[in-house]
Amino acid sequence: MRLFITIFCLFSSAILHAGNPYTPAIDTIHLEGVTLVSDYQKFQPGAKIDKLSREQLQRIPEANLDQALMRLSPIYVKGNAGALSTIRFRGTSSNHTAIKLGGININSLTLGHANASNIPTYLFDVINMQYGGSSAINGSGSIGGTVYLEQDNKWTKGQKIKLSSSVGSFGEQFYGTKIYLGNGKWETVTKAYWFQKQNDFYFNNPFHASYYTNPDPIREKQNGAAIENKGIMQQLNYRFDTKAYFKSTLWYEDSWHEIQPNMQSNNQKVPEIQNKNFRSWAEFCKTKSDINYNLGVGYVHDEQIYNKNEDQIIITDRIVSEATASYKTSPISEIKAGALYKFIVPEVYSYSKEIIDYEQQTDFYLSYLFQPVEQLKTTVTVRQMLVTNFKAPFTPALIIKYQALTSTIKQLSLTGALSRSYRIPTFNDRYWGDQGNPNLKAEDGFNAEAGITYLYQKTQNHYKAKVNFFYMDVDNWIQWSPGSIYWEPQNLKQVISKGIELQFQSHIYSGNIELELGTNYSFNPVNNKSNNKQLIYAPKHTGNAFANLQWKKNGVGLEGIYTGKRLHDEVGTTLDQYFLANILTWHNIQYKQHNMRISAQILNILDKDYQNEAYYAMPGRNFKISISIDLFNNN
Amino acid sequence: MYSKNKLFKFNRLALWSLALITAMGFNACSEDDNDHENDVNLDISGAYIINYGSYGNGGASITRYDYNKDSLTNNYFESQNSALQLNSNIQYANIYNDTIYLMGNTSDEIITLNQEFIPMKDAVSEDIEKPRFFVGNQDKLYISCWGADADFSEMADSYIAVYNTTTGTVENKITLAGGPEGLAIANGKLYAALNYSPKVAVIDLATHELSYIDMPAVSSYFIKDANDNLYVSLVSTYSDYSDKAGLGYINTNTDELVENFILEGVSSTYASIMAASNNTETIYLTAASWVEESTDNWVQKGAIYAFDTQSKVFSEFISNLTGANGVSVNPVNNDVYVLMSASSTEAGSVSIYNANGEHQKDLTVGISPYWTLFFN
Repeated sequence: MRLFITIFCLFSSAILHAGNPYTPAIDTIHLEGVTLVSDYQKFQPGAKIDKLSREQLQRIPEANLDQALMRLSPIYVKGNAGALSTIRFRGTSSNHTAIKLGGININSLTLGHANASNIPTYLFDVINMQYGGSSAINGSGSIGGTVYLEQDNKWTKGQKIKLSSSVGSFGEQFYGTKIYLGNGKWETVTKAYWFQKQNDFYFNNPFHASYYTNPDPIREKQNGAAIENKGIMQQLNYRFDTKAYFKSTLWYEDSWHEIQPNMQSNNQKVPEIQNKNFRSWAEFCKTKSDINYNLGVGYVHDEQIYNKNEDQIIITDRIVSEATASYKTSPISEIKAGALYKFIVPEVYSYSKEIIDYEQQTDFYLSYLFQPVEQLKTTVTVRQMLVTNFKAPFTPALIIKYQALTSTIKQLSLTGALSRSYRIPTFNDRYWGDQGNPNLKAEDGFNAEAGITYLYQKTQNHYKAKVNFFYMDVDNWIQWSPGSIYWEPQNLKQVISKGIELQFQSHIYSGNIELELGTNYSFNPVNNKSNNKQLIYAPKHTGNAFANLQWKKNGVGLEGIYTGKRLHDEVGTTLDQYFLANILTWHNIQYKQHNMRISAQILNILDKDYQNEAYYAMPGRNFKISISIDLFNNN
Repeated sequence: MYSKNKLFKFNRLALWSLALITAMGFNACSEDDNDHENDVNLDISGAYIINYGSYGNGGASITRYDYNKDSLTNNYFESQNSALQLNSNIQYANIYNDTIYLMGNTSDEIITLNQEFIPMKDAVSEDIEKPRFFVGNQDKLYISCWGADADFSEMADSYIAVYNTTTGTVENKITLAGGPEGLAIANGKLYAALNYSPKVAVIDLATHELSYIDMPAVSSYFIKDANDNLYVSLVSTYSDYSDKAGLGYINTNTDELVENFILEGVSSTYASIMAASNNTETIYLTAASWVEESTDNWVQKGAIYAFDTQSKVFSEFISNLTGANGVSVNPVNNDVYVLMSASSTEAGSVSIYNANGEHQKDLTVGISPYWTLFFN
């Protein structure tokens, strides 16, 4: 908490310092939006990357990443009622999704994943989701997919303040603010939020205390599932000129939650977990003639305390630096080279200092973007990671995008990718007590993908349909299982994940009416090669659909989410499929350049009684009301 | 086939031959094995494998293997109870005074069943926090509990719950730090193996007065011999490393550790890692052994060691095992059941060997088989 306050004060003073010299009395406010294609998009022209847009995220300011993905994407998120959620792209496990903030993968180095319930979407402008392996671009861990947490490049001129507040069922409260100050060269953006949820919802408990004499479910209030998250993010950016800038992000997150008990233990005392994370990333970018340089440096401190027990603290510190340079060899070709270095110091009660004091990781990568024929964008990327006392595989990738139709009305593109992906074992896998296994091999994936995208646009209206086929083969999949004396991680599984993903989106305008429609469906058999069984918590069928209707300043939206049946153990026990429906409505009030938005949501409107994770209760129908105010907004 | 009433009549004699192998010395089995055929209650006879399931994620089950008929029934509890399932993960089970008690975790509770595995009443959870093991004495069960705030270090809040089987309530809690695991009653005293402190606690049953026996390692379970003395499994763990792991022998008259038979790599699993033959001449212990996987490439694999209580020598009984949770012995014929798990979500297995170590049969059972009850 002290660190939190200190950082807040520091950043507040930074804001004043940054803002005052240039904007003593601001009566002209201008925010300049700059749309840039990130390097990872430019060098992966055929990759499947979906976006949660600013507009979508604004409608649910209180949502953490798990909620946003569950509601707005077809990606399966395994989780309970808010305490722990993990992202599972294309049937892979929680450790197979990289979550990128600048040059940092924010996944825990000890666990291998981040809790998606502890990542507030409010702090980000856009969230991009890349499906499939992309280790050649993103390094270790990008086997199933990658989530990019992004900020717009606004280069604020003047001031802008956003205030958001939301209250909801089960003691949910959210308060957030975003403060933008700048003069077109300097920019400071401060974002802070506080989220709390008592999570004391009622549910039908089939596993209650009288179960053995009366097995009928009884209505119970959820115990021990409270959440309190708070965070602050400070960006300090400076634009030297149109071809050079410095950007920095400092993010402190304090997440606390009780460990939700399963339905059987609902009346019992629960432990709690507190995570404190400080993540920072600063980069300098300069373009000179055909050469682009990018230098980045970051520091990450991850800390977890179980049940306030200081003896069992888990800390990792890492310094990350990255340097890239790209050179346009011709108008249609570009080559990029880069190096990424990480110095990691774990301080984990169950690691022996004699075995692991620190670790160094260095990645070298090279990408070449070219057009061998007209309308065919191709990239070849290679990457090699070097790790202290560990061997990581050489990782190549070939990605293509062919624009078959390019008219202003109809566009048809064909995409394809072949890539290798990998994940080096987590620190826990290698160093945990007597159980860590230093002989583990890196998980080794092969990813093949093909897609067709058709876009039809006329006047303002557009319709987009996309089909993707994928095949993924992951060997040396690490699993903790009983060993000779202890449970220990072993390279046990060989997994094949394949499937098809269908997407349709449209935007239709008619007078004052704007209609946005979208649907996603995924069919994804994912099997262990040895027994050909579907993996646990990997639904074969998932889908979602949404419709948003905007009339003048009013809007209404509908969301439907379908999650198919999934195994929750390998004996064959399954969890039922479920369909959730949400409705939301909003109203905008505009006064001069200011805007106020009032919105209401009814979630799980059908009051579906369901389980996402086996034996963990989920809330029924619930409500939220939000208000957001944007001041001095002249976008 | 016996009538039901007759069946119960026989149970009092025959079910006392039921032995949970690690259970220290319910000196199992009828002495007159020749009369076994006459004593067999075919309705319930068999090996009942207690499958723990997956912590916090259900999956606990009972597998019945009727070795008289060579028939296997997985999900036996469900089949006996119209699809009712076990609510919690079963850390330990045993029978006492014709009643089966299951120690459930998440939910933490005592489940009480009759010999047909049918619940006799609601589970009891009040004052039962992370129950581990129990022993019975008169109308009391002494239940080792880790407590609600287990820190897996000092285990300052752990205790022994004194459960009255008549009233169905916990009538006393004996504070006992150090994470008590296995229990035994010998010479009128209660012995508790402390899994987070290198001591064995000795509790006077009348006064609950507490004393300790120092150990060279933390301990897990007991086996009682014919002299009312105790063998105790000594284990090395990450938090309490010891190079003196093995099998200790406690004289319960003097309450001293009189011998320690060192064996590297004794399993620290909380399951039936130790079992005795019906005459306690052989004690089977789950541990690791070194196996040459390829030329000059030695790896540790699971193994079952046989300890000859006369010669005091360990010999490798079965080796090259992966995922061995524990071992049980059928008191009728001394067959050795080796309980194995591939993971916390997959079906486990049981391999049966005769007393000579010859493989007899493999069974596919539920998730994480931990213990076996034998009904004859």
